[in-house]
Amino acid sequence: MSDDREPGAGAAADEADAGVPRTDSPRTRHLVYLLLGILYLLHNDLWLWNDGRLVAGLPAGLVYHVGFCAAAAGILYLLVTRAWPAHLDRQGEEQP
Amino acid sequence: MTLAVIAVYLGLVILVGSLSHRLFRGTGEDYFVASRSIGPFLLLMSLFGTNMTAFAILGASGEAYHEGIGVFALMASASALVIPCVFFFVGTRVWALGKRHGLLTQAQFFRQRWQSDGLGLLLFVVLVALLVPYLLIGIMAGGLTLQQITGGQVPEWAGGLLVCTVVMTYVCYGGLRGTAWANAFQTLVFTILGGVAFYVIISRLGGLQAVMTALSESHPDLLVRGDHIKPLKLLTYTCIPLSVGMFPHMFMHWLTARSAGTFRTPLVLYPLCIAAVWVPSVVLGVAGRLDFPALEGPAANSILVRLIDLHAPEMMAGLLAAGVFAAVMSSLDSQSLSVGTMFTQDIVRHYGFHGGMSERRQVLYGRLFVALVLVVAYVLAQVSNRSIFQLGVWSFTGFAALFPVVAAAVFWRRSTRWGAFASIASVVVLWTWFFSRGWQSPDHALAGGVMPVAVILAVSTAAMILVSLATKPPDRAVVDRFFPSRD
Repeated sequence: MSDDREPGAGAAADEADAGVPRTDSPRTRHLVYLLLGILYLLHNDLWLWNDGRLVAGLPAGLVYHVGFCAAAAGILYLLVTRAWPAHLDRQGEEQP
Repeated sequence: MTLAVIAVYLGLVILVGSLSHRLFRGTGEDYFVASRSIGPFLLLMSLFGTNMTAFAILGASGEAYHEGIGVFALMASASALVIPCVFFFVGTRVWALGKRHGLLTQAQFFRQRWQSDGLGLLLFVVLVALLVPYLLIGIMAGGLTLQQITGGQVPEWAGGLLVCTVVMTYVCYGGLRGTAWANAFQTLVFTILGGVAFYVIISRLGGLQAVMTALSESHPDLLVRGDHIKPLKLLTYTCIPLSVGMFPHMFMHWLTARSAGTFRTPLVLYPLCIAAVWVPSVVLGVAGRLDFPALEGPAANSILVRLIDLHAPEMMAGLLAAGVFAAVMSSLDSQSLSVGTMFTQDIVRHYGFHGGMSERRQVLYGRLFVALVLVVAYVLAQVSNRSIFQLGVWSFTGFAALFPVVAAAVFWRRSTRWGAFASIASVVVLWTWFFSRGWQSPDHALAGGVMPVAVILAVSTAAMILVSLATKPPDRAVVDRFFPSRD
């Protein structure tokens, strides 16, 4: 619970926590969006629909979707490090 | 023993929720959105804990008991991708606009965005109506679990009352900060206890390999999707997690972040948290077939309770009940606080005080409405039919179908209030039509396995686009306030 700090005080800390340089180039951003789209399509694993093999003690269809969750975490990491909307923090602080 | 474990757990929840009061600043903004000061860890726990209801623990295992391992792909892994994407594309933008304009509720946001009082009021009514069944399901699940685990010693009404009383205590006292702290504690509890229950039961059954080998001989159909889940159902079910974009309690938690950057860590870890909770639930649900091969219909929702009772009674039963209570209360607290906030801000403050309500009075009304919402929900839960459990997916369908409203609000400058009205109206009409035709169908799907949400979402998107383009463009000065320059 120690991360309940003064408002605004932690923005810089959150930026620093990321520790990875951000690239705001539209090409990089669109590439990450494309990866998200491909991953979404891969959710429909028709080729494993009736595959009853056990892999690592679990059914192949279940192992695939656990791997899907891990892949989602990986691409989301790219999303927050390579395609982050950096302007939002500044917009939030400004008065309209 | 079981009751002692539950009593200790509930005492700890109240303690954690109440400790946050030391940081209370006495303002409305502090009570309703913790002065927008929540960091990454608490945000992850709040977002995840609020979204994981008793359904993820009991309902998922019950569903897996009937439908097999495909339930994980249907309900968990799709959410693992879609929900963080909604947080990234919508949540961060809502946070920035909320902070910039001092917003506390969705109705305030949409009212200002499209300069329409009527739109704010309509959304208030629709959102509360969709949220009520969701509230009732949590209270019923708490009551039923306690009744089952104690073998009927504690009646269902008493379990529900206990859940409501504990939630009321720490939400009224601690506001959003108390809710976030209690959520963090409870999310850790149900995630860890799910893993412990999984380990204990699977060990007693001879290990994972032995369980799966036995299942591949006795129920091979449960280890594949086969005819249980149609491909079109899997595809269209991915629309359901869009509901997080319009949940009032999610909107409220987004506003609590102390910066847009606070969203980063929760976004990346969210899919892993989903896997950690759902894999044990689904595998145990399927494994339950070995010990209890012939449960019919909703009786399968008690499969986890039965497994615990058979393989690890007493202490584990108490811990499982604590885990279910944790899942129930970590959703009920945020939902009741969000409805309390909406009544205070969107009705009393907006129509009664025209923005001139004192900070102290806002907090007072907030507490009163949270208490009132819980009392009403408790009473409704006692008199409602049990088949209301089936309303869960319909509640999600309604929220998901409203997604074009928030997407247009943050991304489309040309969208108009009439487009928003048309989109909401199409959802109300189509949702009512589908609901009246098929709400008792256990499958919820249309021909070919298509979920109604996909149809309603397509129509509400089209309504938003076509009507916006057909009506007068919005005032540029207003639009510029919500689409500030990136430089």
